Amino acid sequence: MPENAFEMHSVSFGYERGTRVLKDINLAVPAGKVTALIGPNGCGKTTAFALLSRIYRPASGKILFFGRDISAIPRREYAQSVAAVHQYNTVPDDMTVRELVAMGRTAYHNVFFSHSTQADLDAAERAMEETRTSAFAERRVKELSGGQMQRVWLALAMAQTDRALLLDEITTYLDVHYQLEMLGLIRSLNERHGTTVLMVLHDVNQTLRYADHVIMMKEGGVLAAGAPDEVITDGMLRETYGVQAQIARVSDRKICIFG
Amino acid sequence: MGNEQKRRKISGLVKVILAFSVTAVLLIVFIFLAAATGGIKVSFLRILRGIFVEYDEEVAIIVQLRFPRIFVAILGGMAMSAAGVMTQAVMRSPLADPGIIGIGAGSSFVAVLVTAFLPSLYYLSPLFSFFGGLLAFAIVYVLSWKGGLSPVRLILVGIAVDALFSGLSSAFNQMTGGNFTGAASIVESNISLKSWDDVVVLGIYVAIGAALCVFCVRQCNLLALSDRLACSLGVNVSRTRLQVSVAAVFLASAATAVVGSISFLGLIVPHIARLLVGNDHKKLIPYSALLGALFFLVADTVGRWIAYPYEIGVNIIMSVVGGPLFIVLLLRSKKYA
Repeated sequence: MPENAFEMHSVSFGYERGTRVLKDINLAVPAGKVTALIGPNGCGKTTAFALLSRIYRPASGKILFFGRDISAIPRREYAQSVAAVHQYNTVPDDMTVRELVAMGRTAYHNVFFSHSTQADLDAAERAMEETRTSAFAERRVKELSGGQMQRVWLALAMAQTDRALLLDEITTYLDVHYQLEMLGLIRSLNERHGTTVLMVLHDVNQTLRYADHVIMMKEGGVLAAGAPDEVITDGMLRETYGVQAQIARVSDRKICIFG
Repeated sequence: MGNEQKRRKISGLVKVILAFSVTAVLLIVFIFLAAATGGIKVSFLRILRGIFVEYDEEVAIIVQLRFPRIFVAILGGMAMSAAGVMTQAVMRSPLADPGIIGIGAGSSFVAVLVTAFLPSLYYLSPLFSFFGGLLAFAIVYVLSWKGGLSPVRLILVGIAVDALFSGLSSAFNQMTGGNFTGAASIVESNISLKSWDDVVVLGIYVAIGAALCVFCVRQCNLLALSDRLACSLGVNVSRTRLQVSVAAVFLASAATAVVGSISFLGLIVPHIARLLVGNDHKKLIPYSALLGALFFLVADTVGRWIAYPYEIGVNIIMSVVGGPLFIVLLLRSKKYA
């Protein structure tokens, strides 16, 4: 039985009193693997993501990180092990890529004073090299293209930690070229550092291609979880998304054809 | 690529150094100009001689009357501008100005009460007005924060709170027939009768505020990121926001307790400063303080000089210049409309 990086035990959560976005959800994210969280819009993916990145607290149930209840882990300590890239982010226009990536080291600093140590500089430098963002390190954030910007967010997260990475729809607004580049990059980071990755994805084919493990959600609960090959079937897609789909095999890879 | 990046970095640095030094030089020039402006005409040299070499009656009058006023303007301008930057960081809106959204009015109301009823506690009046400022800030914050902060809501609530507290101050001032001159000078933001005592009081509070600012630099930079991002970086966003707010209100109230409520200074100065030195608070806060000192001193000196022998209050100058600039800022930026 492999170890789990994250576990949710009968977690419920709602944004307003009386409503439940997540209903008694149980899920497990295996350590050192790339896990995709998929499901139709409004199924609670992003909410589950926000609970794991500790933006919200569950109304009931508990969340474990390597067996430890996350509500008992100080925020800074948690940030030293878990980094998150959110869907929408604001940044001051005139900040440079290097300055932004350096902010990934926040959790390693004293609350009031920031003194960048050599370890901070090294971590930021390495993160930029690995995400191929060093070339435009001095450029301002607002001058970047969408594809470059997403790589910078990844660099920021990697500067923070390579233990666990939460990514919310990191490929959504990218063209196919950048989508594949991004996912390839995430895979290589996972292979190099053994980083646990949990990414919210929309694309079923990308899930088949890039994930080791998939969690399929619907209406605030988990419908199925396991290896993508086994979980993603025409029957399951019909049940989850309500669409006709066919799984075909092309040169030893499964692909999904809709309609 | 590498060369171009390096060149850019250097030109950015040159711009910042230039901004700081030009502003500092202008400030020194205006200190002399302000000292020489007024009923008694004396040369700079004579002022210097009078201070350092031998007693000179006219110079002594200037030292007793004009210098405190100059230093009060400098310290007040610094405090108000730095408070503006920090309020903007907390509210995440470049339109938040402690003078407009009621913080100034709240602290000035309490300062008026203290000056009128407990004149012996004068040295503590910035502390009392701090609580007035906190009260106003809390009201504005609670009423304009709904999950996030809508800039329009912030301005509307702020203006209402500002109107309430300035109304209360004026009402008190008129009820008592304007007999409490100290209180009246706060209501009218008149700094013509400031003494060295005022400089000392303000100086102490501004020094404490400056120390708080040093701690806030990093926190302000973190607040500039979206809440979710800051949260994932390991920041306790609500606590950070509270800490920066307290520092901002402290500085704004200290300035208000001595100078009176000043509108637009905390809005315009940070805005110009952002254009010149960027959004990094490590440069933005000190530069705004410097520019605020210059701006406020110039406004006060112009008010003394333009209709001589009559004086126009510095707050009136600030409103006349600041109002239109505020509208320009509103129109220029699609974000707030």
